[in-house]
Amino acid sequence: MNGPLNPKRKKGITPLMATLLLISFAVAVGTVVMNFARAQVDSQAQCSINPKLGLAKHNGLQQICFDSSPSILKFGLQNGFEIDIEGLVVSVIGTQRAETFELNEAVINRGSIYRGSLNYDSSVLGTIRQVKISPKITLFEEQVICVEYSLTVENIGAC
Amino acid sequence: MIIFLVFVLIFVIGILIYFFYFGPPVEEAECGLGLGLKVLAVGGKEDICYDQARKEIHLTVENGPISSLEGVYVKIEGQSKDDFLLEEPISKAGVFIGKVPYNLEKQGSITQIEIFPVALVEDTATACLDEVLEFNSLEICNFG
Repeated sequence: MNGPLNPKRKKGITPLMATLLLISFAVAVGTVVMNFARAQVDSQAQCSINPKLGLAKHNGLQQICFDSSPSILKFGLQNGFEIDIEGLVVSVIGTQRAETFELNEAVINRGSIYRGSLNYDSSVLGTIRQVKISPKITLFEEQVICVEYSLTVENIGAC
Repeated sequence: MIIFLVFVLIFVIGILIYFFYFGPPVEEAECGLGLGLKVLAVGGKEDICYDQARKEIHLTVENGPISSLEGVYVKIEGQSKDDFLLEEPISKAGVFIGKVPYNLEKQGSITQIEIFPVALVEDTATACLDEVLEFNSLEICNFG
């Protein structure tokens, strides 16, 4: 009666070993959960607040135009009342090339208007096909670019 | 022993030559970064087309807001296979217009175009295979 079915035969793991196993199991589960959560945060690193950035209007006209004599793109932007904008990423897409400008000085408080201008060399970049303006905001102490709330303008006329 | 070493040397040189001349121009891997590269829509249409006058593929890509890129890697499949590394730094949310030389008359029709973002992964420029943009048809450009 010394076989494996003998009830008196008590073989198991020591309390120390059980504790170590439990701790390592907890660490493994914690690591998996943390990595999963981080992946979720990274893939959804988008803006939860829509700043409602729009083109400013003057006498019903949208404030964006191209001044060809000094070759400058001029624009006026109106921030909504949701959140302060702490910078802009402006991409100007021409027929030949595209250029992206990072305007960190373009701070636009809630409800305020910002007037800006960019040098645009049409001899190199071609005719403007589109201007895309993405606002930068701070969420949870981290600055993010809200590409999903970017402002897209086409058919830009002369100033 | 010397013969064995010579064989090893020839083998190593052969591998280096193979990768230098026949290997892809950039490291390829699954990056898992969620870069969010996309082809920009202009005038309501994705801006990828064939420029007949210049005999090149015109594509406008927009980077996502997560990370800057080192460029884009374009693979063309059809009657002939070709790949191109367009090296141009693209900032976060930046836009890049790529032009890939391709002669439809000489090289034949295109069945698929794949565009991969090239990002720095462990200090190496890597084409991210898990973020491919695929196109199976190509219209003629009309910048009108």
